Amino acid sequence: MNAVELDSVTHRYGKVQALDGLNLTVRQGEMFGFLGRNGAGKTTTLKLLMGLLRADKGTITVLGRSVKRMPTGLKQRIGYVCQEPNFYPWMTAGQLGAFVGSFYPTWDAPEFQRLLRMLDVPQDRRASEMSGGTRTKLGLALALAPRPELLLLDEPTAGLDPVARREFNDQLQSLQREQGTTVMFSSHLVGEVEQLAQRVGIVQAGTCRFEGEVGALRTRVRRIAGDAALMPGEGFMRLRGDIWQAEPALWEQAGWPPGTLVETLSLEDIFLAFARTDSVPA
Amino acid sequence: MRALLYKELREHRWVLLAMLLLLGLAQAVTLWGAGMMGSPMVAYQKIVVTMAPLMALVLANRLVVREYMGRTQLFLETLPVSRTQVLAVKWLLGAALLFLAMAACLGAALLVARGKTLLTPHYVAMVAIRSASFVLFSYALAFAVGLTGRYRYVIWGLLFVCVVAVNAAGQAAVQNWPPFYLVAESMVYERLTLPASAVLVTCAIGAGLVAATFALALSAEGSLVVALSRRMRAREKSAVTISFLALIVGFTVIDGRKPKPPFELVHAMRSAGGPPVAVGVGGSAGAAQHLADALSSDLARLQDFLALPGPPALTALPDDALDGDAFQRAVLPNADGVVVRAAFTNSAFDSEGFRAYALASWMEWHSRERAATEDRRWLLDGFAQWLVARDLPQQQEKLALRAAFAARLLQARPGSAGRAVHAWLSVREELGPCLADALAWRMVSSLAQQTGEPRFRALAQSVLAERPPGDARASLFDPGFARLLAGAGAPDPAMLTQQFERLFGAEQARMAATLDRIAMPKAQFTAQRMAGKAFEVHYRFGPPAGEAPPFSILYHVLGPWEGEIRPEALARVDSTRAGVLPASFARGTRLFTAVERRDALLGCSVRLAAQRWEVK
Repeated sequence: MNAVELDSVTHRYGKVQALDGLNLTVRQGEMFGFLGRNGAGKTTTLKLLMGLLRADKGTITVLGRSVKRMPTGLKQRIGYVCQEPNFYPWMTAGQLGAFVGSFYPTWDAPEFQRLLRMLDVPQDRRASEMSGGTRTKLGLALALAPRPELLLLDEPTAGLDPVARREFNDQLQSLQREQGTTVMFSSHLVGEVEQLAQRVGIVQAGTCRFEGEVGALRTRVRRIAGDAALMPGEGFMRLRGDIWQAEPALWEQAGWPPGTLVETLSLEDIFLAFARTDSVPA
Repeated sequence: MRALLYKELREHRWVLLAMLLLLGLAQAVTLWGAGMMGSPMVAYQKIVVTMAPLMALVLANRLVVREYMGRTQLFLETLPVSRTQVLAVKWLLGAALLFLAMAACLGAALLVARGKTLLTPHYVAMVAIRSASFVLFSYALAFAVGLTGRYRYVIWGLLFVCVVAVNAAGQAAVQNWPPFYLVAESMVYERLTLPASAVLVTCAIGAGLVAATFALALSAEGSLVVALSRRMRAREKSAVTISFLALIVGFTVIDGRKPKPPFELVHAMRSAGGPPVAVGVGGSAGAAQHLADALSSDLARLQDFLALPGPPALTALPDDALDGDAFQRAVLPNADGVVVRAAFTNSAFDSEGFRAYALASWMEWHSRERAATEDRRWLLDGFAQWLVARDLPQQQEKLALRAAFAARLLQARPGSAGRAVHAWLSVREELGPCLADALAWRMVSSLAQQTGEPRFRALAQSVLAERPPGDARASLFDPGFARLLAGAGAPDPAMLTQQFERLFGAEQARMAATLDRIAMPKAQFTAQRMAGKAFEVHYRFGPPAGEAPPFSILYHVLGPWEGEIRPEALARVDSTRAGVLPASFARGTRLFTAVERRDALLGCSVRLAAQRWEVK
């Protein structure tokens, strides 16, 4: 069973088309990286999955249940960390834990304490007195303590410095390994996604441009340098400039004339090609 | 649900505590003063009217506005709890606190009222239902408006303007609207019938507001309220402010243009020709006719001097209860025109003084009270006297003597001329109307003489003959008295002050021998503590008892923002010896007191020892 399935999902904010027929699948137990530029539709997708917004069209299935009207029981199985957590400023980390915990039957108080210690979050400091990074880590602890089956992270490291980001990512990885939780996180930092995610989805202008494993993405998209007359044949699609996309088998079958250089690209180059291309998705 | 309740109570505990303390204090104070109100239940009615809306506003602000404006609502929405539950908990918590607080107040009032007022179960139930309906309405309204986020002040403002507009239209007085009618004073005194329709309408409005609250909060997955709770941008603030001002100006323009029927006196003597004047017959019809003709002639001269368009309307009514030299102007909320009152049949009736008063009242009306603002009021008072006395040498002599005596009284303190120019209302209060009018006449006739008739006429026209719009535009387009003086080529206020200082000195020197014959006895007021916490005010008047002529004691309890005291607001005690005012006063009460004595030489009442002071 897939943890998340989005089928032709559309959502508008007034005149702005945030999602335009988005299709996406997140498998159970995997760490899924959701890549896209600012305004591509990442946050909207995660909010739809949390039931904070309602889709105009399409179907959304989370943990096997439709989220047309998000039932409380389903929400209890999901952990969510948003970009800028709006905690009650007067509450300490401990008080927040007690408050949030009362909404989850699966809340694990000792686990919350352990997470706070592990993530180095002071328990008796008020949220208003915490740095952005500490607040994000507190958000992660609050999201993990009820032992959710699905963890949704919306650009969790956006406000963190490089050291804090590395620490956060390491801890997230080890926690995911420990608990076996399905993690879907959005980011526009390609390196971070490359480090953490087993599979990625690239979204642009509300549409999914690629979904699959990072390795597979690398074998599909390559740069062809050589004579312009030596254009690839059927099955190849030009993403941008000299970057092309095709099935892995086609790359192997193509009989490249002498002088043609077929180059494997970094994930960042591939992301840039997807992010800037105007071509129809493969 | 319990966690939400606990969170709300913990988050707002200090504010709730402070609010309950304030309520307790207010309840204690009103119950303590309930003796003066007639019944302890009046104290409860006052508490419901004032504290319930205030508490509703505070609760809505804490429970809703703070949550949405602080964006913490977004955190709450990520938790496994539905929006409906969150909203219901907040609404019910606020309502429960408010109803409990009001129930406690009712309980306290009933305890105090026990044995003093007849408390039947029917009566108590009626009071409880009426106040509970109003509390529900107040809270539901405050909660619904609170959800409109950054537009809540705009909505409160609009509601206020609408209520004032409808009330001003005179079609439906606010106190008769169902929610407000329920907590009017009738709540305390109505013992037989419950105003069921008012209760139903109020509860229906409350229920409608609750439905609107939930619809607004839950529509578009709550995103509408979240969008509303974003802070206003500078452009939006400017647009709202401008729209609001435009609305108020528009309202006052429409209200100002609404024609009012002219005041009409059926049984009256009317002027034979010239501007229409009607005089009520108090004594003989001939005397009334004579007065009507004289007033009409004065108005014709005024019209000619100030180049006023159209015939002005004036009505004079007899009022034998007044002194001969006391005049009053009637307030006409639903009619147009100028109505003045005097004791025409009194042997001491000051005919010239009344004619001048009528002219000044007409100019006040014509200028929509602008001519009566403090910086130019001396010109208005003096001009009216000047116009009437212009061809009456005897009246001029009388006024000159009064003015010289007024200057002597005034110059007992330094800076008398400066006070006359810049703080005329204080000087008028200190001297009383008779001497103040004479002093104003002296100032104006000196100014007229100095500037010459053409410039003086131009000044009088610019200050007294302008009719500003009857709406908010009036305050926007007032050029200011100093500019009007300069525009007419008259001396500026500083130069006028110097000239009047010299004038006052010269007049006193000229009439010193006569002025020395006018007695200036001393008067004194003192507060003395009574057995309880109240004070009584004693007055003494010299020379020693037995030789004192009749005199009048004037007094008035001053309100916190009270400016000019209307003559009819002054209480009066006539006496010939020392005594005590027939009232008791609490510590800290601000009083105006004065003594008036009629002087034969001056031919009018002289005011002495006028002062504003605090009882302690």
